[in-house]
Amino acid sequence: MWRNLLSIRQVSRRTISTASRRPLENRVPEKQKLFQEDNGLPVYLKGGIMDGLLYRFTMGLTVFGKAHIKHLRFSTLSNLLRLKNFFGTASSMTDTVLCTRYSFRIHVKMLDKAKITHKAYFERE
Amino acid sequence: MAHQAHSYHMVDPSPWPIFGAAAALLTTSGLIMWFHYNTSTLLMAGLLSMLLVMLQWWRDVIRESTFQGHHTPTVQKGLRYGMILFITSEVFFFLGFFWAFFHSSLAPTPELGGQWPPTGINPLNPLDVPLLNTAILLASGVTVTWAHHSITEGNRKQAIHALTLTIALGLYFTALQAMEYHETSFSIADSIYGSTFFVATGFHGLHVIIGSSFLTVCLLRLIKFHFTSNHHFGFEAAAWYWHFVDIVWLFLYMSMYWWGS
Repeated sequence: MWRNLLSIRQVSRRTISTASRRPLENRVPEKQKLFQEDNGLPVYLKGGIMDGLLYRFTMGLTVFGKAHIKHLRFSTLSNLLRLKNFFGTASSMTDTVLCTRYSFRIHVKMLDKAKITHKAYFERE
Repeated sequence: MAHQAHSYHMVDPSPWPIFGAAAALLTTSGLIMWFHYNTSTLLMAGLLSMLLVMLQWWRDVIRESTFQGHHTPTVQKGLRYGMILFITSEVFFFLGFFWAFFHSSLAPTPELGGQWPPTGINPLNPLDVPLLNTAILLASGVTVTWAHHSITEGNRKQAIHALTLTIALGLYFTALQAMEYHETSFSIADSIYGSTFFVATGFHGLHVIIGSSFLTVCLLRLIKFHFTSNHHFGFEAAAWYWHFVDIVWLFLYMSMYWWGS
C-alpha cells in the first residue's frame, strides 16, 4: 500500500513539474516587427483588426453617452426655461450653455479674421 | 524618410485624450443621474468607457516603448518627473483628509461628548487586524524591492515569484480590510468619526486596488519579456506607487487607528 502511495506522489510531482517547466517564448521581436512596419497606421490601429473594432466601440459608447446627456440636458433645459418664464429670473445653467455656444461662434469668427489679416503667418512652413 | 534630430517622442495623433474627457463627462453626469434619478445607465456607460480608454491608452504606451523603441533616456526622464509629480499630487489629496481628521479629533465638540473617539463609538482594536494589515503592507514593500533587484540582476524566475507575492499580499490586505469594514460597529454616517475614518481608509483601499492592478500589469509584462535588466520604468513607477500606498497606510494606522482610538 505504501509503495502505491509513493508512486502516486511521484506521478503527481512529475505531472506538476512538467507543466511548470513548459517555457513561454519571447515574442517581443515579432511584436517589434509588427509595430515598426511602415504602413502609415497610427499606433492605436497598428495592432490589427481588433484595434479598429475596439476603437469604434469606444467611440460609439462615448458618442451615445454624449447624445444621451444632450437629450437629458434639453429636457432639463426646457424645464428650466419654463421655470425661467415662471419666476422671471435667469437660470445660470441655461445662460452658461447659451454663453458657451455664443462665445464659441465669436471665437470662430475671430480666428477667420486673424487668418485674413495675418495670412503670411498662417501660410508659413 | 525624414528622421528626427532630437531624442524626444513626437506621438502619433490619438483619440484617447478626447475620449477620456468624454468618459469623465459621462461618469460625472452618470453619478448625478444615479444619485438623483435612481438610474445607472449613464454611469455604467461612463465607467465602461473610462476602462476602455485606460486600457487602450496604456496599451499604446507599451507599443510605443517596448515595440517601437520611442522611450529614449530623455523620454524616460520626463516620465520619471511625471510619475513623481503625480504621486506628489496624491500626497496632497490625502493630506486634506488627514487635515479633516485632526481638525475634528484634536478639539472634539460638545456634540461628540467632548472626547475622541466620540461617545458611543467603539473603535477597532489597533492591535488586531489593523496591525496584521500593517505587517502585510510592510512585507509587500520588501517583496517588491526583492522583485526589482531580481529584474536588475536578470533573474527572471525570482522576479516573477517576488512580484506575484507582492500582488498576493496586496489582495490579502484588501480582503482583510473589506472584512473589517463589514465588522465595524460604526458606519460612515456615525458622526465626523465615521466620515473621516471611512473616507480616508476608503480612498486608501481604492489606491491599494489601483496599485495592485498596476503591479499585475507589470507581472504580465514581466512574464512576456517586456522588461530588460536596465530598462523597466513601468515596473519602477508601479513600485514607487506601491511604496506611497504603504506609507499612507502607516500614517493612517498611527493617527486614526492607534492615536485615534
